[in-house]
Amino acid sequence: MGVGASDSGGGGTGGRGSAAGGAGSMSASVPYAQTRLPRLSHRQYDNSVRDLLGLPQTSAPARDFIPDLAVSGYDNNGDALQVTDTLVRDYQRSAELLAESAVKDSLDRLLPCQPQGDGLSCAAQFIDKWGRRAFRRPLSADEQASYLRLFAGAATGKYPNGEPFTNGVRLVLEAILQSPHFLYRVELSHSNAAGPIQLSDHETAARLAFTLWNSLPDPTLDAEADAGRLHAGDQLRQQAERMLGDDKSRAMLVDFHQQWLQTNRYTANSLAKSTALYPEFTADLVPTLQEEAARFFAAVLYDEQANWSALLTAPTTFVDAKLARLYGLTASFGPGLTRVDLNPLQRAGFLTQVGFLAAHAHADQSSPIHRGVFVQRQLLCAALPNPPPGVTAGAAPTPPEAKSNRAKVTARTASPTCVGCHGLINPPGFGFEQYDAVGAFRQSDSGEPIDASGQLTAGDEVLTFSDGVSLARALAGSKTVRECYVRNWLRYGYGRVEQSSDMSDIQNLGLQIATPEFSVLNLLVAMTQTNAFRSRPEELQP
Amino acid sequence: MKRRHFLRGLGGATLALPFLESAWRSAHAAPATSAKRLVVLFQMSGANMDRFALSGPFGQLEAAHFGGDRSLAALAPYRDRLIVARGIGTGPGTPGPSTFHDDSIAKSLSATHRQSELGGGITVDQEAAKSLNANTSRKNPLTLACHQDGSAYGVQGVISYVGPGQPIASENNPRKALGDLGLNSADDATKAMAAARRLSVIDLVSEEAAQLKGKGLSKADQDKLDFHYTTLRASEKAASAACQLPAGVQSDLGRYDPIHAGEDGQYRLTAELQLNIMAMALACGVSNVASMMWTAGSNGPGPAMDWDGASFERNPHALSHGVSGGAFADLADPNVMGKIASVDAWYAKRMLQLLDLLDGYREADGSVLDNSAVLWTNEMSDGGSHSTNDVPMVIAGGAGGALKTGQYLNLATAEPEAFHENGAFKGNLIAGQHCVPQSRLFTTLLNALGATQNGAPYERFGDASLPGGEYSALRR
Repeated sequence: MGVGASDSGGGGTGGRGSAAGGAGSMSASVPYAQTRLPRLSHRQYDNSVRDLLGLPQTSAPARDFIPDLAVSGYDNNGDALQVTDTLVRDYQRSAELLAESAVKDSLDRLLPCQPQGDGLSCAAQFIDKWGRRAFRRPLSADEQASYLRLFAGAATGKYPNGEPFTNGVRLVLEAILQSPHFLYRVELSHSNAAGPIQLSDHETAARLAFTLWNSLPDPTLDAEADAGRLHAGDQLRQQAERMLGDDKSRAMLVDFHQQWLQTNRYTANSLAKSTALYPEFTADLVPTLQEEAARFFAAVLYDEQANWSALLTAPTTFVDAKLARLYGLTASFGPGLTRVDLNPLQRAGFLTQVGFLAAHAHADQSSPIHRGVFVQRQLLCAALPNPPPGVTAGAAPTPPEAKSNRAKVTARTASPTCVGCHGLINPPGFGFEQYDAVGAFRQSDSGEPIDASGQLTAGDEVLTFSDGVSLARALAGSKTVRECYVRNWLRYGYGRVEQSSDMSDIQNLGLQIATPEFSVLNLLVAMTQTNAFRSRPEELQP
Repeated sequence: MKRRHFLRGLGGATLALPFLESAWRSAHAAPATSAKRLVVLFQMSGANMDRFALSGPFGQLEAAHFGGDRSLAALAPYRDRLIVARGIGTGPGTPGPSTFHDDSIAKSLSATHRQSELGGGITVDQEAAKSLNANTSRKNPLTLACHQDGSAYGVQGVISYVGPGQPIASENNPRKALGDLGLNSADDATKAMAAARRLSVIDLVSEEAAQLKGKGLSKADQDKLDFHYTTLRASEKAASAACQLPAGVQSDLGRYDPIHAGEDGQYRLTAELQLNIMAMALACGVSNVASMMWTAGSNGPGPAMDWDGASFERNPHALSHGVSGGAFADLADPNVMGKIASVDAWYAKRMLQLLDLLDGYREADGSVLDNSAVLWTNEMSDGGSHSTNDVPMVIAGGAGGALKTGQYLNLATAEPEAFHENGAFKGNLIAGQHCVPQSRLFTTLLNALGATQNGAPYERFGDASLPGGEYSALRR
């Protein structure tokens, strides 16, 4: 299998056979045909311009772009990141605004030199250095010449005022920020041999950075790529481990969990509660609940480097004074979020947190169906169909003897047309019946004692539970859930839907995260060690 | 009158309403006839079809058709310029999954089966833009939304596609929508400099794209680059469009609050702003095709209607399934269908608002409305049963005289066509008959508006298994 990477860098020697050792292992998976020009996601654009221009963390120009659609759960799917004419104009406006403010606010910081005379020499150095970072590879001599001509042309008739040198840099910034080499993750390496094509070092560096940081490489990674040191698995792994120490990885990890567990979908509408029953549950809780989840993901999985299962088992969260009351906490809390330990008999991880429970509930009652569907789809990766046509909630009357929510739901979904799906949905949903419409713990429902026990089939496993805590723990110990977690990470990390060729990686990584000492950060390193990550599929006919 | 405004338009000054020349036509030899426009307004979760039905026989529309409690009552003043077409189904067309919201939304405007997670084929708005937007700065139609952006809702957050699995998002923020029209009030010298600057950038990055294309990329990747960089070059045309929102709308724009855009109170305001922006963009020649996705589909948390006399606790999707209050509080709410009709009537008033706006823009050969086809449709007919048979189809404007307006039409047939129906056939006026596919309606509209394919009228649109040809009853 020939693996000649034609781009600059390490040449054709490829690390295909080299054992990665440690966290990752090289698998025999074959990547599928995918675009060689995935567009930057809006998050990647924001992070990239922030890194390139040294902008503050709050800077997010793509917030004003036409939004990208989440496909298969994630907003960074390379095949779905289409370019529309609106987005082309968004890029144009953004490039012009960023260039304008960059030369006004931070020209000295951007320049590697002091301009002398006509400034051409300094401009050339700037193009060489800044353009290289933006393109994630050194510029060719032709490219340098083109941008230098652009710089010189800015002196006349382009801007109503400003110094020629400053205007030249501004015009170069406008162009680079609209260049296909900046806006797309160009993967040009090719091979004359059959089979997957090893990526060049610069392409590998870009994949690493956009995967682990949602941004472009930093100077250290750029230098590694220039030196051709990203072919072997252990070098790649060292870089991945280094990069995971940066806060950009923390933000990436939070973003993944927000999208997977859909905490980014909490809205005042989806969390609207009965004002008669829950007068304290007001719309201002929505951002608190989103923040609660984000802080939890970051603290447990990143700061403490826990195994993935802590997501479903850690009896801890973040509360302010208002949220604390919903958890039944009696200590006094301030307006900001504070980490608290929760009663481990009542709470275990994300699925027992107020945000999830309240977002998957009715205005006045829990919703075992919404909670059960979430568990099936998001945690078990079950291909659960939507409700069939003709389902009308009012169609089947509730028998008068059904008092509890569980009894009502059971009665209403008992018909033969319902049980096919509700046999899967209801059991995990009933597991959370101890939590009411706002996620507060309750001892009874409509005067009846609560039965939150059940059995759940997950692949070839049967999970038995007595309540929400034991259900969460059972899910955390399930092979099906582990592989579903890995599957979701691959979708997000690789920016594409998983293929049958990815299954061996999914099984392998699913097995590795079963080891308690194997953290989510270890998993991220391992994800950069697969063949799928380090190569691209054989070219289709152009 | 015309001459005076023509000159003011050239100078970049505000064009007085109601008479307006588009900047494109001001800057170039005026064509003999005005541009033709297509607008699609897209509602989710179905309608109360009993109240949607007009109270009168099929045939010429009279005031009496709109009487009493009809959902379309607000549109009575436009009855001579309307076609209310019944009996059209937007069903699967080809064998495949049953019609859930994912499918019905993807299929509605494409008339194709949903082939992947995202979407079927190209939608009628995008197809129309190929011809109708040829002389504008835009390749895609103006795609607007009213509710929260659809980005979190996948296939249910998009109604417009340029091809299979190639969704086009809608802009829900009126400020951003307005900003994207490229209106520019700078003086001529500044504009010329900006144009020169942009041109030098466009030349450079377009050359980069051209070189990239030669590196053995797939057709899809080459097309992506082509689209991006030819669109960038075309963006220059937008800078000359000279038109303005009415002063009242401008001040309303100041009240728009993107943070709370998804919440009930902002919905009415957003609708007003977006409709005004849409009408202006159509009248100014920024785009001749526009669509409005009122809300995302069932999994989007569409607003519960809590305004204009209604105070509903649940959004239209919940209402469509009979859930109008809490979990089990009033599942069998006897008024739930009435509530759905109230929602439909509210959207009829939004249609009225748009028609008024378009009719207020006069051009040489009538109003912008006269030169448009405005289609208001829905992902479903009866939402509770997920039926896509006899889907609401209200068409306004004459497409420049090509459509035979003033009709209440029954297109349903006694014998079934090669067309997959599903769900209960709702609508008591035409019970027992069979629906006909939307593909032929779209073919009719494309041809009525003068859109062409390879220089000739369209023979068909949508899935190959669906019948081609037009519905001649709609044409003059």
